[in-house]
Amino acid sequence: MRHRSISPHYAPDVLAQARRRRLKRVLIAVLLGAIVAAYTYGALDQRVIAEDRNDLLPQWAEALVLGTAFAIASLPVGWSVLGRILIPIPTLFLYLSVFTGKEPPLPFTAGFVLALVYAAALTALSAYLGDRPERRLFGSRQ
Amino acid sequence: MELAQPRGAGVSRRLTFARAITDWQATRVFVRLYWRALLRQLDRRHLRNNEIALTVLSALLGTAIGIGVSLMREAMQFLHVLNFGLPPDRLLSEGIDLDWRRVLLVPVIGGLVVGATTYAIRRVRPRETVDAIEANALYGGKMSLIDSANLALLTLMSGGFGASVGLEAAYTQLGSSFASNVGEIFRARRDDLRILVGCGAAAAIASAFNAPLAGAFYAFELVIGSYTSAVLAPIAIAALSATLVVREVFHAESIFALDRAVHIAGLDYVLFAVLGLAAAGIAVATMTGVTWVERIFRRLKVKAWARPVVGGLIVGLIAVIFPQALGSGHGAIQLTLDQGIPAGVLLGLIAAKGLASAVSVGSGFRGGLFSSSLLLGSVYGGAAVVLLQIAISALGYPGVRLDAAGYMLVGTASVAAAVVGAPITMIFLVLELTGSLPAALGVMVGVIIASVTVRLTFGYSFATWRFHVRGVSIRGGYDVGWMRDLDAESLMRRDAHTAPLGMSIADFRTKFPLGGPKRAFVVDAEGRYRGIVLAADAHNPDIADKLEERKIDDLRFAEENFLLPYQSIRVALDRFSNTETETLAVLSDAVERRVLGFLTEAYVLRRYNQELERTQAEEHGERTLFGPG
Repeated sequence: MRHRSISPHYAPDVLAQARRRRLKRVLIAVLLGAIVAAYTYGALDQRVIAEDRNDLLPQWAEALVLGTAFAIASLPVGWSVLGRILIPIPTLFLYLSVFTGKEPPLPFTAGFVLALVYAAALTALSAYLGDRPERRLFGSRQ
Repeated sequence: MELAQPRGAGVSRRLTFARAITDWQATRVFVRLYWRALLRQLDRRHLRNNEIALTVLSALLGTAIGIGVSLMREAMQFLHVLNFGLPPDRLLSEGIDLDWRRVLLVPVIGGLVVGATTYAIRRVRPRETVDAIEANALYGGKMSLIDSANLALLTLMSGGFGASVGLEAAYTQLGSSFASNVGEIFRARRDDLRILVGCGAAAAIASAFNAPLAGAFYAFELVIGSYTSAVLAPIAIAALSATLVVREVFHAESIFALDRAVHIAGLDYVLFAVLGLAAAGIAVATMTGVTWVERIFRRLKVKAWARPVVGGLIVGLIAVIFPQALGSGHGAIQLTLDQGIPAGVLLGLIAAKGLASAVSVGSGFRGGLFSSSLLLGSVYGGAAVVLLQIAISALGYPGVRLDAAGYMLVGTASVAAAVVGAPITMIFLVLELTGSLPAALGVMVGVIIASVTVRLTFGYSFATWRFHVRGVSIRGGYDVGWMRDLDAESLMRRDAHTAPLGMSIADFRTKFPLGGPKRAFVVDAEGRYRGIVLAADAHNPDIADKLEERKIDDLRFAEENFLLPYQSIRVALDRFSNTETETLAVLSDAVERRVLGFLTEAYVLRRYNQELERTQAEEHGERTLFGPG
């Protein structure tokens, strides 16, 4: 027989504090998403070699997508994993085009390794931010 | 020719000029004696009573600090040339012709060097370095020259290896501590020492930016904490002499200049206010970003010596794309003003520079955010004007053209004012470097909005935020150290009368008759404090029966309210207010609870007022706030 877990009762001020903390983390995620978008837009604008600027989407849209994915991945919610899945591959290709398309361009291997580092760093940072310590405090499933 | 021996020199042999120039030992004695005589002439009495002596000393200090700042700047450029293969006439943050391998690796190596040096210094001197603001607020202007030299060395290393920090923190630290130590040689009194610390900071900033007014007001706003006519002369002279030295001897140029006029219309002032609001957000994000990075390093349990290495790697990764993020950013500011950076890159550079600065400082590289915030502000202003121009065109006013230079200057000064916490300094900095009054007026709007917004929402500048994080509760350079010096032990009355717990009221009345001691401190059999009984309460006419049986225990109060010897006058006043009592016992400690003495609210308030009056009078260069009679 399965036991249904009964959520414990908390005082209203404790719940309000938790709400404020969650809101703060959402705002931080949005702010960091904007920073990633601005950074990526500036990086993409460094490309001077024409074939490296030949993208699927306009430059601003690519930066916006990556920023949004990062913001979602940094949210303290279970489905933030969707954002984290989205980050690595586009980041790798976008930053590879930056490293090989900027003036002076980096050798392909170096550019690839650095793009890989960027992809890994953004994914790891979003995973760190998406960690949800307040959920554990409120006795949710671990 | 025979020279008279200086009075009180304490040597038996007479010195002659001929002997002094032929005999080396005699020359040393001669120089030493006359040096001592000179020091006696310029001693505390002269500094205290003669503003001219203090002003002359500040001019000499300003000259020396100007030379020191110029040498440090040259050393930094030498390190950049050596480490990054930079042409000697180029600045690092211009980001031109840099090899990506060096850009990636040099900050990492720098992190290793800085981490190891910090570790070594911490082992020998395991304490926080007291900076100019902290020294003036808490320590009466006393600073350690060795600690300051260590900090300057670490800052030079950090900047020299490309960390995104400015040298201004090192300049002010070394300048202020040099001035403080010279003041101590002359045995300057507390307030003169505080002024000399201000002189050191003013001279350092004035020579760093080739801007004497900005330097002087930096000292007024941050280091002294106020402007009074008494401190005007020494600080202004120090700033001026330092600027003259860097201009005339080292031929230093301004960190940025404007070669065209700035045109500002009515609409611009409204947009400057909006720019100031957003600048406050950028400033707060950068300041808290530093703490955030530190927290991440702590949470990930990265060793302290390894943190700058990781920080250097991150800075290197950023700089491969945005080389302008390297170093202090002086070169990139001029590049931005000349509109040599595309608009899209400017947008990215806001994020890149903010991140690089936060990571650099947060990971353990030493340095400040003064010049970093200037660059951050200029790229922010540059990006903002492009976005505003697009918005205005989209609203159907394609004919309205915004002056990009004006917006960049407003962005520069607004972000820097919010981070550094010195609004007037930034207005003067722009005025002195550009020579444009319209630009300075526009800057005033943005700076005021940014400063007020940060003050009301965040409440700290970067320096005071760092104090807050360290647990040091000061908000500026104004002198609050006297409050710490005035502790309960130095203020208390020691003639505390005690009465044993369980004493009858009749016995109490006999021992403490009316007209005698007003209060007695109740102690138990082990001599521990158990409360206060007022003689007036024990002699209350309403208590008339069973005096032999009734105990004073029922009349006790303030059993759990007391002071400890080290607690300051401020704590005492708070305690009186919170507990609504007029007398508090001073106990040896919270466990032993032995009564050492007591304090009354009236006496504490009187001493507090006296000290406030004395401090204010000294700030104005007077003996008293009130005239004679």
